[in-house]
Amino acid sequence: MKTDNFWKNKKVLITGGTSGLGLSLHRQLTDMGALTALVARKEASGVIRGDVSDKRQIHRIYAEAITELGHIDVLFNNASSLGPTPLRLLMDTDCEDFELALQTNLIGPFRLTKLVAADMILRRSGVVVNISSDAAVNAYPKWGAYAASKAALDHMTRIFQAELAETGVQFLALDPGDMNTPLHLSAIPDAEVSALNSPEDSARLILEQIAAGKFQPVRRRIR
Amino acid sequence: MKPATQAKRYFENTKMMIVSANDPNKISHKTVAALPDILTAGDLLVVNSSGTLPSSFRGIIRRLGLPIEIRLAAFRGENTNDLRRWSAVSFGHGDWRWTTETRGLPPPLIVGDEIEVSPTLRISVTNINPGVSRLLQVEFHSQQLTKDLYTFGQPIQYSYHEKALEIWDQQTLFAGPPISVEPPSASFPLTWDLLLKLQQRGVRIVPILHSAGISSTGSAELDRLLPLEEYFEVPLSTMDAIQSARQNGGRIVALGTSVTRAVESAFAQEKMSGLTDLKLGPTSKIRAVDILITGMHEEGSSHSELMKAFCGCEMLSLSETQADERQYLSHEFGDLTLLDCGEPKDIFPKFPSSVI
Repeated sequence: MKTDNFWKNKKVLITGGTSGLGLSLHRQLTDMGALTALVARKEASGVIRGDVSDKRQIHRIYAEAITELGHIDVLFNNASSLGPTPLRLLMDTDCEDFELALQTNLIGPFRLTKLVAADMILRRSGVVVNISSDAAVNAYPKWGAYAASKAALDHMTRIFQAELAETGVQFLALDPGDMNTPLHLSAIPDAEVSALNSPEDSARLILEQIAAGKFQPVRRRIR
Repeated sequence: MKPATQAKRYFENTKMMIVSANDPNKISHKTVAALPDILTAGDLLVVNSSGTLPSSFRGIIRRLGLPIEIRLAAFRGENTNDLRRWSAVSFGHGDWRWTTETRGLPPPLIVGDEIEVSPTLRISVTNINPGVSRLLQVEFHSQQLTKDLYTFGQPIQYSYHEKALEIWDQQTLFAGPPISVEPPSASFPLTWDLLLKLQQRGVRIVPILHSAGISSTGSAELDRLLPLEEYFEVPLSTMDAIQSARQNGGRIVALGTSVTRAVESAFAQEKMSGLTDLKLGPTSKIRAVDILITGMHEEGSSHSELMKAFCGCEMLSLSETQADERQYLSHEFGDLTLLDCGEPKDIFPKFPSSVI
């Protein structure tokens, strides 16, 4: 109930919002009375079509979001790229594939956060949630491009929080756990599905945590 | 004064001339880095949080089959969720490398004309100024308007620039709803580092929205009409902050002429949002703003007229001479002037509660 009250009428922007965790966040937020805008690379009804890894699209994506929502209370930087699939050793990873993972998982969230957080600072309120992974701290072979980008995303989150500590804007990097999502299954096609978290459960825990104001430390595994 | 010809920002190293309106001996020359020493606890810095839309559109007039460029001149909508209605200026043959004065005359439009920009985006002409036929009111038609505006619009360019501006060159630190057609550029030299320092020293920073309009039309007759009617919004929280700062002896600092026009319009017209036709000049009474921080503007421009409301013609002329001697740069990516009105505003109108 407390979670519902917190999210009612909140204006929320979610990147990667048409599948997996992003879609679950959107559905639960909508059920609780929040207003959401979704960004996705694929064409879908009611979705802002765009790729946060593309510098030329970012101002248009933000403009579409605030024209629709007015302002943004919470930003979920959720869109992710695995890098090369099937996953490869770093020694077998092309530089271009590594760059693409960094653009999507690190530079895209950086660009979007700069735009969104400026208004949050002026309103002295707002939350930026970066969806991370345990690959950011554990050295799993063949997850190099993705893992390095998520580790950098974690640290960027910490620095944003340190620099803007007095502004009323909160930053959080969350590890939703291994989920039964298209992204995870494209990384590990033969994963044991029954052992994976459902994205619905991860989304619920994330929304509860934000509603409860648990912003320290920056990075945590949701439970 | 020479214009800045590159979209390069010098941030804290940007020159800033300090002009105190009631003391001609008090023109001094500093840089933007000095702002935390000039503003003090209790002062209120008001900024324009509009984003800048790529506002030049090329299309074909359906009735004539002829090409035309439509440059948006100011936002005229009812709120920032609906970006259909704008004032605009038509341009003929030529491109941004030509000065606006040398551009060809556009084909004559009539009310009801439709301009096809793309298969998904068209512009209809809803009004033509009876005296100056290049000045229009237009309405966009699209199923995905914001997306199409960014897909088919190009940034308004300046002929004196070495390179074409990109969309990110035009955005300020605060860029939000895209209702400006040219950047509210007084905030270009600012950094968050400096703004957070100001906040730590007790200076509050609050936003307004104002559609910063077109700066050059290529027609002296049309330029005389600037600024056109422009959309503004002063949020209730900002209005409260203005009242509170004034009651506590703080000064109201407007970052840019667009902020000044929005805040003064709110008090002069007793409304928090909508279109403003307020024109400020040498005889205007400034009601709310104590300090204006703005770019270096040339005599005769509407920005220069607004500055005269703060410091009078002689003082402005003196400051221009000093700016020339010290090679200040003008226009969007140039240097700044800080104009201190110098008159304590002991009488401050309360906003009627019916409006709030």
